[in-house]
Amino acid sequence: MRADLPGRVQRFFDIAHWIAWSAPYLALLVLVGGIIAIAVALLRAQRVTEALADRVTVEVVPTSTFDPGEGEIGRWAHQLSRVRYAAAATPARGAAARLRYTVEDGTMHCYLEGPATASAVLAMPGFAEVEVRAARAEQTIQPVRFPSQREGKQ
Amino acid sequence: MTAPVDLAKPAGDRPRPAASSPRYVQRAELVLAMPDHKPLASLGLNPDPLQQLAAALSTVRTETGERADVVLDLVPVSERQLTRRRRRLLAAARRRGPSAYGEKLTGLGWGGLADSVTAAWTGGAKTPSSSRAQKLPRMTDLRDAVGKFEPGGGAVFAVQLLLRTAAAHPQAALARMHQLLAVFAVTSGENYLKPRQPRTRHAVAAFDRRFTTGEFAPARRQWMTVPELAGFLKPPTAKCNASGVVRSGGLVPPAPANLPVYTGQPDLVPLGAVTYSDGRERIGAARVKDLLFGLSLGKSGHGKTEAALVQAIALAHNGYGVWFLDPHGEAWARAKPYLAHPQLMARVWEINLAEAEPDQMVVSWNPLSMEGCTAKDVQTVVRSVTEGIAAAQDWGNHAPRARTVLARASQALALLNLKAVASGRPDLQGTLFQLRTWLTDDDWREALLPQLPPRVRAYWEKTFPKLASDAVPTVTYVMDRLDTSQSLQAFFGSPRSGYDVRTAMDTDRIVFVCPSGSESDALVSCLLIHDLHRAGLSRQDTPKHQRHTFWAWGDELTALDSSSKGFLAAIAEQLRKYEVRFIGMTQMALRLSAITRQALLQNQSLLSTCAADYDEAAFVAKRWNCHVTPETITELPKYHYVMSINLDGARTKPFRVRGLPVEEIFAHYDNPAGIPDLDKAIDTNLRRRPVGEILADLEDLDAEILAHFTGRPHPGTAAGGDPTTVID
Repeated sequence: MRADLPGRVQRFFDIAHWIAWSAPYLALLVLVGGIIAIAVALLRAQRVTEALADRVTVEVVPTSTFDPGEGEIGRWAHQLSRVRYAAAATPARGAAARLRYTVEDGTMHCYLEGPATASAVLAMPGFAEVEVRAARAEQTIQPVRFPSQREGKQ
Repeated sequence: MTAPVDLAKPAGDRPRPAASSPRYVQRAELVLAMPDHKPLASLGLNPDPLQQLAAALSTVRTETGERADVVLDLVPVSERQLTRRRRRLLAAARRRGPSAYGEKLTGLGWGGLADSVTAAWTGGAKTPSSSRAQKLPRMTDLRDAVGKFEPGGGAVFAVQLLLRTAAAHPQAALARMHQLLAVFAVTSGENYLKPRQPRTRHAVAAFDRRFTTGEFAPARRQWMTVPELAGFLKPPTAKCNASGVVRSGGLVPPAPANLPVYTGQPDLVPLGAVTYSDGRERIGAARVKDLLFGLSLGKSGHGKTEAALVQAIALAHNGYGVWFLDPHGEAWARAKPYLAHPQLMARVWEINLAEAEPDQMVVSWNPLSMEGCTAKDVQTVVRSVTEGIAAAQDWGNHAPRARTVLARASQALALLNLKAVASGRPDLQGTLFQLRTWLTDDDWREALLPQLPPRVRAYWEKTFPKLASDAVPTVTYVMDRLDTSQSLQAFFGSPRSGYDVRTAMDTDRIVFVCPSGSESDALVSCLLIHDLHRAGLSRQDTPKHQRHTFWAWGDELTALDSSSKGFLAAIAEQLRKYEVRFIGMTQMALRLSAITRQALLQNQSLLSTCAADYDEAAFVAKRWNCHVTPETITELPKYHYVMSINLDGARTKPFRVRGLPVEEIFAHYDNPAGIPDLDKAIDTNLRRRPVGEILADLEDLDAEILAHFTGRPHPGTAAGGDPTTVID
């Protein structure tokens, strides 16, 4: 027991010495790790902000005979899940698909929203009898500019 | 005295709540009350779970500023996440051992304590009941632990469910929120949704940020499967019987992927706003080379004219000649600021018959003018005038004598006009008003007959006297109608034309014709369109490669069809050969004669319809091989069209187009300050003269023509007239 004690003490002092020796490096490692973590967090936050600032909305308008089965809704759900994967570079926080039910002028409207990178998926009809229309907010037609006048057409 | 009551409707749209009025907002986030592996009730699809939501939303009075929104944010859960979750749930189940209704059947608790006491009493010997096998979970335990996340359960989503209502009164907002919560209460089953309302300012701000931006940051993790969400994953179905649900009449195929996008290119014709395959709206366009003849159908006031106006302005800016018949005059008023640009002013012509002040500058047109014509053109001029007047009078096949008399009289005056022009006096050509003089004033006619060829003269000497009493009033009725309007007198009363559509074609003019307000705008329209047809055919004298493309829009084709069954067919078939691209508009295609309808539809390279009556819609839908149902067309909103075009030589399927107002698409070219300069330019371009001057000349025109051809004054005017005016 007595013979063991110096060895353990010695090991303790060795470890303490190693920690003291490597403390600056460990501090540096922790600092670099922290900076990287913060940078990644900022980058992700920036991507989320950018994705949320540029979202696409379409209106889904059913026909009066629209009557899907559960299988059709299941297939639609799988299509809907592609909205998030179409914005794979964006964290989930900014890449959700949104179904919005709202009322305008006394009638209920159903809108589908998502990140702009998923606009092609959003515009794709998911049901046979549901029409996908550009929502009013998305009707951003740019005024035209004509090229210089021509002298005459033939 | 009683104060007058103003029954006029308030101007503008329906009243909106003032921006300063207080709005009370209720917010709630729905979260699963129990661990999320326990499922909500599966609602099925019959009746539609959205039925209650639609009923709740139908009570929201948006006109008073109330709002109610439900947003369902979905992020798919990957299979790897799902497997990990399943593994954890199974591990928990193993730790828990056998259980029932969520309670452990072994381990600690009273049962475990009893086992410990028994073991101590027996000196540590194991009893059969404390065996390891007893702690192993059963299959049912494992299934319960995994719950709805069992393999093969379909897609799983992480869900954020937000409800938000707003109203001008706090109780109203609260009532709406209670309604929405009641809608989702029906999902309660093994699990249920409980509302979580943000209380602190920070929580409210976070809620609103999530609500407005689409940020996905649910209060807690909640994964849901498709059967739980199915009722809310889709728009309302046919099983949703609530009335306040927006529905389309039917499906319209998507726009072709290769539809050109219009940004002002000269080789494209804008059609309107089209949703492209990426979901973005852009201005769709047809190619100039593909668009030869167009037909636009649909109800009045649903945007046919606006769509045509957009095309006309775009093509005018790109250097093409355009001819726009605007029966109501509103299109011209809207187009003017967008054409008031220095580079266009020299090309703009305006024929506006709405104003007739004596000092008003107006343009004149003599349909019988033979300036620049030869003897072989007489027959085309005669046909143009005869068919135009017959169309306006809706003679059809019912007035053969009147039609013949009119044609003969037109022929006589055209021949006289040819002589007048040949003798260097185009200012002594007969006008439409001289047709009446020719038919009713025997002395005047007989004095001029020697100027005509013998065959023509023979008709008037031998045949006409037998018809005169019956047929003449039918013909002169037209001129009598014209005589009631000073603007029409001024327009048709000048021997020389300021307006010449052939010149307009060859020099890329921008022509707007507005017969609105005149007594006989149908007559003017018919005469002008027939003249357009005549001028188009006269381009045979120009080599094909030298013919400038000229665009024309004409409304109310039904009226034109009543005179000559083959006229519109001829327009559709022939004008495009001479680089005149005609786009016709009509409300009722079924009123056209069968031959005309067939020709129009056979030759069209653009077929467009806005909302229409069912029969009309069924007719058009049939033309599209039922890619669109008649119900879809009848339920089109205002300013929305379904159209098909020729694209790269092939007919497209019909697709949906949203009409664009001129103000939106040409916002960069709105120049109201340039209108005075444009008016001055039009005066110069068309050699416009004051109304009073034209009418004064018209008073003496009969006598001057007689004097010119016979060398003697007219009997009725010689005594009081100026002798110098009758000396040739």
